[in-house]
Amino acid sequence: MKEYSRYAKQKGTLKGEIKVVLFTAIGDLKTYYRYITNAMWVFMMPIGFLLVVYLFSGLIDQGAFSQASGGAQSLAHYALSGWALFYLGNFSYQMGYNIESEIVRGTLEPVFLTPIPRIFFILGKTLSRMLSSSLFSLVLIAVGFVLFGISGSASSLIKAFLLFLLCMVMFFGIGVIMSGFSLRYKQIGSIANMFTFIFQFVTGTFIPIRIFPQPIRYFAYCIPDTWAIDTFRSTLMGIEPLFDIGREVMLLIILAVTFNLLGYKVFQHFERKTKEDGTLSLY
Amino acid sequence: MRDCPYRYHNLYIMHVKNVHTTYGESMNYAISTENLTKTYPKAKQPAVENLNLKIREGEIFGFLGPNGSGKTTTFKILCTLLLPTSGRAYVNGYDVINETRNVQMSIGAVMESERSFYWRLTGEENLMRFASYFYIPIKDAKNRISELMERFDLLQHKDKQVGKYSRGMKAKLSIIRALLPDPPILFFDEPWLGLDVETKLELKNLILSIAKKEKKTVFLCSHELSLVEEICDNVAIISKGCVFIEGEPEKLIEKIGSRESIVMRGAFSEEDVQKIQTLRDVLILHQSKKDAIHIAVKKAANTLPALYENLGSKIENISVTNVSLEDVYLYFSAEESKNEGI
Repeated sequence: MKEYSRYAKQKGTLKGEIKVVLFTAIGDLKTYYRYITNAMWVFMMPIGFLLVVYLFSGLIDQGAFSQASGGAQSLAHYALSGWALFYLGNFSYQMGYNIESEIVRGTLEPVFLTPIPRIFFILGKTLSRMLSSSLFSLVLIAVGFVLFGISGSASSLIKAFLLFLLCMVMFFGIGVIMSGFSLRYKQIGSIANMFTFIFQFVTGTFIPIRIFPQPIRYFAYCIPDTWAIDTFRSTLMGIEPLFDIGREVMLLIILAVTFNLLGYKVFQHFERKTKEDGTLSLY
Repeated sequence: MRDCPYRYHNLYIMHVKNVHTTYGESMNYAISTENLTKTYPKAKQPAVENLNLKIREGEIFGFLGPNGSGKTTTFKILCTLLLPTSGRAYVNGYDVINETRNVQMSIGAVMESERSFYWRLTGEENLMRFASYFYIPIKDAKNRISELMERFDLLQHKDKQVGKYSRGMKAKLSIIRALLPDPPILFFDEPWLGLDVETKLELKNLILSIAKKEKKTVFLCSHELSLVEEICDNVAIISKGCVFIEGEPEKLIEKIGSRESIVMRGAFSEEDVQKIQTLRDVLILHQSKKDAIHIAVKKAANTLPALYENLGSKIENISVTNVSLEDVYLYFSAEESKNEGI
């Protein structure tokens, strides 16, 4: 007695956990892209977005926009950098779908029968979405450089990239919280969609926050995406930030740590609750 | 208020354990429960109540009962997918509440749902993914997957997406997944659900061969009583959350005191049923809307003349077989229903 399964002896090693993350991420990417419509969507989305930005750029008074945005060269410059980060943040709110899809598919219980810490499973699922989102974001920025002539020094690019990574960590924490809620309340897709819809307007993705009425501005300040977008954009393009850039970075670090710790606890709590209620696989 | 453990206390057939064991005693069993109770939120009655099971290492244990009797609830608690309301449960000596990870490192489980795979991934990709969740080294996982897929006759389909697998193939894949880490304890929840006869028999033989050759403990929830009878060392029948009979299938059959089972079809009245009840050595196991009566007798040859004498031409069809676990199940279920009605 007390013997574990013969092949299940590598518990808890870093190598083992990395494998869990990779197999989950690769499996999800394969599953996603084997649906041809998903592949088409990923290809069409940036093209559509760039087209809209290009057309709108010609209609807007660039001088007035530059003033409202704190010094952006044009709407195209402003919106591209905003969208790159917004799209990255978007995945975190949609991470609830990760768990929801596992429940619908019937694969959540078999996964929860295994001894892996759930956080690595979520990390793997997140990684696959993140890779798609990051790829989209980076492609947008790269195309923006070519089409609209976005200028940036090497040091600002490196700083922006590091900020991008920091934002990824922060968004992961938010995603884990969303996953926990999804585990407990199942269909949180509508809430996620509501967040996404509202946030794209109020977080300064392509409309400068400075032009909002005060109550909406304060509301925007309460959303982590606002700070991620503002800091990233200011660093990449030298646009005037909403507040001091150093403080904004510090805030992002604090938010990243807080959301990750909170996410871990929230997920653990809701996992226990669903096991008490017997609703783990219910949808 | 219900009082499960003592419900059949006065019946000679009763074999429910109500022994308070210590942690040390529980360690000696592959699976054990102590007054295990689960009440779902807002439920009026417990789904499982004061369940006391003792399953030895290497035993194939059948857990039987009608729909909603508490089988799957027990299965899920033992597999760490559900938390009990009270009582304890130990799997491989580990507490399912406080040593969850150790339990998960000791078991393989086959769920009834065929939709438990990533349909756009191939059979092999699915298994590699789950192998990583058991921390199986990649090389070992590949070898193990090939070995098991070959054994289950799926090797030629390893590169096919699971969505294109037949139901039987998915059932086999589920068993392979459970066997991946080579666990000492296996759990099955309705492994034969929706399968054709050939596949059922094939899987039965595979489960039996794996359990016996590799000395695995098997906890099996099923409605397939004939298959359960063939492979299980011990069975327990649960109804409304309480185990009301437990033991070796052969001994349970002996406990009925009858050797043969008779099923009669025809248009029978209540009076006919009463007549049958008065006959010597006859136990009524089941009657369905008076068009079929299922009875157990000591010797059919002695009872058949009396049956024809009393029911005569009303009998359209009659068949005689040896008493099986199904008859035991019907008998004790009927007893249980009578008791509920008291």
